Amino acid sequence: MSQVDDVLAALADPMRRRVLDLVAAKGPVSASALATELPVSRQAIVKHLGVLEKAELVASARAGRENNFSVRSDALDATATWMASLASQWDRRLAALKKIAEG
Amino acid sequence: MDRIERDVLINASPQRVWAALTSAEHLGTWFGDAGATVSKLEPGGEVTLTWAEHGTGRAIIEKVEPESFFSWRWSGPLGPDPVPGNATLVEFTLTPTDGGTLLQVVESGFTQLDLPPVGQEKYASGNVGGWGHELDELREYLEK
Repeated sequence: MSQVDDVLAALADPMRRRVLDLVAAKGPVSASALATELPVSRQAIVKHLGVLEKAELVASARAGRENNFSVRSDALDATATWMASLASQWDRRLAALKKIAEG
Repeated sequence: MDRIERDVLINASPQRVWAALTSAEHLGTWFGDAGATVSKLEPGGEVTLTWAEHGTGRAIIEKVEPESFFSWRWSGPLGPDPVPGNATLVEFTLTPTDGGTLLQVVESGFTQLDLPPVGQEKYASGNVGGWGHELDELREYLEK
């Protein structure tokens, strides 16, 4: 899968978006620390972090017995830019259609 | 979740909006810029859309409810044919409003696309501080 695919699939899950939000706010942060703030198990968070890491949305670094996670912005920027360009194409098309229907 | 939603308020009747939306004559100007064809305005019918710069893309009509709903599956960025891995679903909904029509469009299925790797250089933004903003934008598309 390409990067944009991975990012979209990773962000399709609401809990994963919350995990990513928290990593952004608190990072570098461990799965255990995240588990104290979210209504799911540490194990579930580790799984979510794995998906986010594969999509290159977070990076991990060893810190003692645990990994600390922080946000990477490149993959998200690329995906947001791509989606934004598609959305603005629709805005242009709809504006042109409006002109025709009202003309 | 992997969808784009846009809408526009048009000061024209659903009947007029429907005509602009579904006729080859108009599709060739507001959607393509160098012509369009519609084989049959019914499920399974084929729509072609041509752009002067990008060539022709194809779409297969899924659902037709005159003056109220229209959908097609159309080809993605990989080529002219809406085959699995290269197709998204586009749904148009027309709602009559006071003196006009609300036209909504939803395009979905982006996570099913087999996209080529995104070249970092092509999308490189360099805005390290813009992350929060980009996420908000993306979330808007994902959650709307």
